[in-house]
Amino acid sequence: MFDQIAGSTKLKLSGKAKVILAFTSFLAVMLGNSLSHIAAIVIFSVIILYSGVKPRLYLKMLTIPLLFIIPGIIVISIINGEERVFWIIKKEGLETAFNTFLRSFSSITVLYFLITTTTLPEIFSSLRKITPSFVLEIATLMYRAIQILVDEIFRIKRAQEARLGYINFKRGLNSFSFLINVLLIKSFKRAEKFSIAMENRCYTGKIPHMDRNLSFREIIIILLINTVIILPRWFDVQIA
Amino acid sequence: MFRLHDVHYYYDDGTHALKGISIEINKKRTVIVGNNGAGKTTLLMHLNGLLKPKKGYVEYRGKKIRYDKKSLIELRKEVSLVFQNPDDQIVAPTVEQDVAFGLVNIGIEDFEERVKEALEIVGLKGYEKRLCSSLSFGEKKKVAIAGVLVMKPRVMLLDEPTSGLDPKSKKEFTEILEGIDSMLIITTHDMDFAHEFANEIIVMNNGRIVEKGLPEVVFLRDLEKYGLRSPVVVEIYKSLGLNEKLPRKIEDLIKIIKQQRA
Repeated sequence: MFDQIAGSTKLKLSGKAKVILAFTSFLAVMLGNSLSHIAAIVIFSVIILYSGVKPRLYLKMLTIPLLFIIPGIIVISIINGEERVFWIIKKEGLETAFNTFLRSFSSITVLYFLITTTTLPEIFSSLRKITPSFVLEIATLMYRAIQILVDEIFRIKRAQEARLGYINFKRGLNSFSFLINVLLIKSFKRAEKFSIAMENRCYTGKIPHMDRNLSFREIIIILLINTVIILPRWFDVQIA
Repeated sequence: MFRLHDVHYYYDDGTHALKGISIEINKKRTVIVGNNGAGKTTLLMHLNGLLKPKKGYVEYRGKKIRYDKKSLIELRKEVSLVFQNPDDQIVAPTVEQDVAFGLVNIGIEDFEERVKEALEIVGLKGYEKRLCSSLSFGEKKKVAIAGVLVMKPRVMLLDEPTSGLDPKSKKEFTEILEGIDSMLIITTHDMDFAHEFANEIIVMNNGRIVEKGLPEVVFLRDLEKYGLRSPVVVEIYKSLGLNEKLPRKIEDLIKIIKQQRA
């Protein structure tokens, strides 16, 4: 699903720019203070929504990590510090929990920016200079194989559903075991065809990767966003 | 361009797919027709060395095809095959990567312009960054053709290029194929397409070549004994008992009928 969203993004930035922006912003969030985190959440949420992700879907996506974050911050607010503010919740704990919440949430927003705007091939291509070529080659071919297998799964499942394959739990289990069985056989056949297709197209061990240099506009965007995130932290240091 | 000498091919399951094929193929638009299992795809796969004859040999431009890796790469630079199912052909995740695949593997790193040009020819301008998995069947077929076109091959082998396409896409495809300069060898079940498009028709049946010649000649013969039907134009032409030269397109046939009525 994320791949389809990333593939149809409206954001006009190269894959390399998006990967660099995500990684540098991630660092900036780690180094920044609460204001930096709020800035990161706002900036990346706006970019994500601008890039074409529907607001309802984005909110739904944000609720998933909350399931992990909320229990975490509850524990932090209980075990940290001495001075109680309400029942077993402590003042120092509450502050740490608030900071942890913002930091986690801003990191997740940055991560969501990466996965909703950048396809895996774009990420692979942008890592070309720092990753051995055989690793990228295997990763790219595996990714294509996964695309094909997912297509197969949908096709087989649809055929099973059309013949009431999942009408009840027992039938469902039976159909699922068939699906795995057929998928295994099909994956072998597919692998054979894949190899013939590569041979047919003069395969000598190279997979094209579109690794373009950053444009001036992209460099400015990356610098600007990171400056806005890191600026509150810089003011903190100056005041101290 | 191609000469096959008593070519036999057996699959591992014992199917005798080609039974002593001896033929010369050199017309710019050759279409091979035949029913399922006639051996069309097997024959096509011999022309760019994907299959090696069990007996006999294949010549390309006067030289016997050699099956060592280097010779095969040289052959496939010039003779490219487009498979019937585009999912069997597409090997990279994005359109741009897939179209550039062959070029990069023969050492051409500066491929961007050529990729754009190929995509424009097949009507997929602006699709460079799209994921292949998100394309429709017709679009995938076009990507498969672009991936071969970009290599600028001397010969393109197309296995059932119009199968599974709606009439509009089929028309688009025919136009794309008509605009290609390379020699085209096409297998198909689509007799109307074959009649309209070919310079030469080869009819296969049960692993053998049973007819070969101009469409105007071959399609007037009885093809039902090979499990094939005649093109619609030919059926109408025969039933009206016309004396004019057999037209290729239905539009031309309508003109003839109107002229006769007038």
